[in-house]
Amino acid sequence: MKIGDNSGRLIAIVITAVLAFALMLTGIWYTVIIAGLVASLLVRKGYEVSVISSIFGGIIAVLLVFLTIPSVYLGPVLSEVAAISGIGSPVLLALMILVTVALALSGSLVGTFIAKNTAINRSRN
Amino acid sequence: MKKRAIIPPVLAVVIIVIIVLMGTFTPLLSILNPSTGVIQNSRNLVIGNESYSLPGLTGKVTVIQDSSGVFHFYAANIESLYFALGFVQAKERLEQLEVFGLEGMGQMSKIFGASYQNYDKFQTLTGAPITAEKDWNSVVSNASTNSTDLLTEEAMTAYSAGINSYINYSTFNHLTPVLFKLLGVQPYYWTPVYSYAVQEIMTQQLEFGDEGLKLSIIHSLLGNYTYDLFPTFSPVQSYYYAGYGGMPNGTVLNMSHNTYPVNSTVLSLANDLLQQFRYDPPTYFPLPTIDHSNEIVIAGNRTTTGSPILMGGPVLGFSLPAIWFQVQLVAPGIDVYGVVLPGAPAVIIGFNKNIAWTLTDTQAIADGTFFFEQKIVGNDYEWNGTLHPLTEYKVNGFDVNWTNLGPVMVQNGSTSIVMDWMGNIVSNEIGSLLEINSASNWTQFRNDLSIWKAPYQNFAFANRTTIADISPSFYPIFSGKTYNPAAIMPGDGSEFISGSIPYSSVPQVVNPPQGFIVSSNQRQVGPSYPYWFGMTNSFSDGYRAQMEVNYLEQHSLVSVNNIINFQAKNYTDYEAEAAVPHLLSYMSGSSNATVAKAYSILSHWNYNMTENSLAASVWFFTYAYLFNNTFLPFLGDHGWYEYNNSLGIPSAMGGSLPNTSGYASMEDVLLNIIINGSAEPFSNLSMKSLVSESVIEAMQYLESRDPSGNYTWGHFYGFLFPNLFGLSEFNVGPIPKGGDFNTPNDASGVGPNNYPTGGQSWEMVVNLGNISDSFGVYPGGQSENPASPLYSNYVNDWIDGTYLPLAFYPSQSSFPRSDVMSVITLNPGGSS
Repeated sequence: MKIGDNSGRLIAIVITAVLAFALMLTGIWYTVIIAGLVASLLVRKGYEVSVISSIFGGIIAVLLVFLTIPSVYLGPVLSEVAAISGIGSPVLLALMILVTVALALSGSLVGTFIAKNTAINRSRN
Repeated sequence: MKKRAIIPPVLAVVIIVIIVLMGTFTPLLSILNPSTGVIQNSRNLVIGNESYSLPGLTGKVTVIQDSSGVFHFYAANIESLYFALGFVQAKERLEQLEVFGLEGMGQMSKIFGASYQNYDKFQTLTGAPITAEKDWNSVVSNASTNSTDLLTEEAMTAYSAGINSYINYSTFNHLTPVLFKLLGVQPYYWTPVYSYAVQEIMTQQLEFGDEGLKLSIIHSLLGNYTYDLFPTFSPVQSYYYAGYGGMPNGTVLNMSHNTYPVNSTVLSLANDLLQQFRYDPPTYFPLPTIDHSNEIVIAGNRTTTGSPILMGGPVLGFSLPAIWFQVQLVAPGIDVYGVVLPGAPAVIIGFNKNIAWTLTDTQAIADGTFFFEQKIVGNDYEWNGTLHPLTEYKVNGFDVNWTNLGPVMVQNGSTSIVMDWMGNIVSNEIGSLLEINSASNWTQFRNDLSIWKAPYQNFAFANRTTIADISPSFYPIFSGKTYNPAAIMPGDGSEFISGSIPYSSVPQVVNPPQGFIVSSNQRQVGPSYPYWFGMTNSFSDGYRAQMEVNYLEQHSLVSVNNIINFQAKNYTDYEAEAAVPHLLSYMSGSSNATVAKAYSILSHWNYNMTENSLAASVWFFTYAYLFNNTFLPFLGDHGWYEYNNSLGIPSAMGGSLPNTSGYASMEDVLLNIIINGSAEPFSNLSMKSLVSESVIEAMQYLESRDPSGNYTWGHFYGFLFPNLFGLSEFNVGPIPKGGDFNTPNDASGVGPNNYPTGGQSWEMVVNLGNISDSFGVYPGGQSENPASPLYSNYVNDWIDGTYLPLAFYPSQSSFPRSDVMSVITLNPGGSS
């Protein structure tokens, strides 16, 4: 089945977000790499889509995790951490998202690379 | 393949390497991890019904948090009760528990780094970790024959298991407190030894003095003037709760006036050791030692209820989280309400359906810390001319040597100073407290306390028919009865602790004829007491106690509300009441405009240290400058300032001025000087000159602070509640409040640079006629988490003097729904 570019982006974002969220629940943050990898291998829409899906998928996954905790206390906890660590709450949130996106992106880049190379080999055969 | 094609996978690898490095060399990844990091701790802040299945729990426990935040435990059996207490206390206060445990054991640097090495070394040297271990071993080995030790073993084992159960739960569910996550460490498992170590630091905070060292140095500087500045008996105190007024006991007086002369080597060692005392306490556990506590019991014939009323107000250093945790503990055989410490499963101050009790520090007998000059030769110490081998310990990586008298604290060649500290007596005070939690009458209560050794405490008691007070402890008596035990003594065998004051003779009173007892850190026994019981430099100056006595003498019938208002809002300064009329007479007729202005302000004053009083500020600073002008030139002339670092610069009201030290005896002496009109031998100046000079300095200071003349007392007095972990963002205050060093709501220190950070840590008034009509509050909150709404929610009530109802519900079913904040159900089960 051929997937259009827009649909491809959307599907990649959804796969990345859902998988990253599920994998994050294991407690092992590095597993988010697998989300990016799987999404890019399934959708196979090139690097542009892999970057976009990693960014949006990563952000959505972190937001989904936020939904599992009592959000009313999130602010006070982040303020507490900020006071102790000297890192402001917005920076903490940004770092949390950045690392998630970076992990998804690294998987996604590798996945797209594999997808592209297996596609070339298949066409050569 | 084109070179450009491999850029994406290389980029991916670079990203992963950067993240792995970040995770390896910083705790950032574990902190930020959305599923396990700090944001998960917000789940712990939810206040709502919860249920846990806990391995190791033997019976169901229902824990109801009432609308004030107090936890009420209803357990199927005693073991489950203490298990649940450990679990819930760890849930709310794990950081505090763990820090206190490390502090007691001298292991702070394990988690907080090398900057705590000096503290750890000193703490180890004192013997506290060694004694904590011995205390627990003694409990275990005697449990088969001693019922108190058996109860203690069961309670402490279950309590520790409860704490550890929460540690396991929090680790598994990523709820380890934020501080641990940020430091990248796991909480350590609790053992009963840590509980005894916490008891050791409490003993150190309450009964661990360096006065013996100071007094030897002071005596070397002042000679016999020492006894003018530090009299054995207060020249102004008249109320002793346990009696013994009258003429001084000759033997006691002779001992006190015979300070053992030490040579320059010992003086130098004493000075070195005083420097080491400055490591204690460390940053954590802020606790001033110069503030005071209140305890009053009033007989039924003097109350509007017809039954006794007991009032408690133990003064300790403030911190957020506060030192206390408020609970009701109910299981078969026990139903007790009050406050517990982190690490100790017994209610320390509280009541049950039959009795109520509260504690203050006796401040007696040189704080239970005695120093001896002892000869060390190689690995031996000398005793009665014979050498004996030192007992050598290796604890926390430090070498600690003990002679027969105690640990060798400092040594130079063969000369050493050895410390005999009562905190090092192997004893089971936690067991004593566990027993009194379920005592039902005075006889039982008194018997339960007979094993109490340290810290030295006054225990006020009331039930429906009896009021009483007792100061049980190990009060040493000395073999030679020659030298002043409040200074360094010879450790050659001629003077040592040969026993203790018999339990039947320790200060105590039952149903006194005046119908009340006040024991607010003043000396308990008068000059005719047959045992040496310390000098005025140990005890509170007694003005607060005298003010309390005056109040009770003037009010023949008091209600619960009267007593609450008295403790929380009566700001009458007894010392001002006694001194200001004399000061006015010295100021009278002065041609100096500043003195005349101060005279005008003070002459209309009612001696109340209220926030909006100008006169309160004028009195306080006049007294402070008078203190300085009377004593400091004299001390300077005698070389005191050469020992500034170890003796401190004395100042009035418990060292209220920044960077100064409190000396209670000097307050006594100064009031005596004011009343009697002569400052000799300390100053040759007339009182008129001294007072004028002091008033002018005080007024100049006040007007420099507020040239508009609005220098009311509220600008100088108020309370600061510091975060326990030194995070100033989570401090509360300073918040202005009336009172001063001499009022029931007392503390030393004045703003703006020295606001008091201690005060009445738990205020409680119990109506023995109807215990449900009892009230109390502590300045803090049940949670240690600054993000929690229960972190500091009691502070404003404490400041306002609003005592909260102490809801005493005997059973789960009697708990009204309207008073329930949340319910925690703990069920046995699950796998460990």
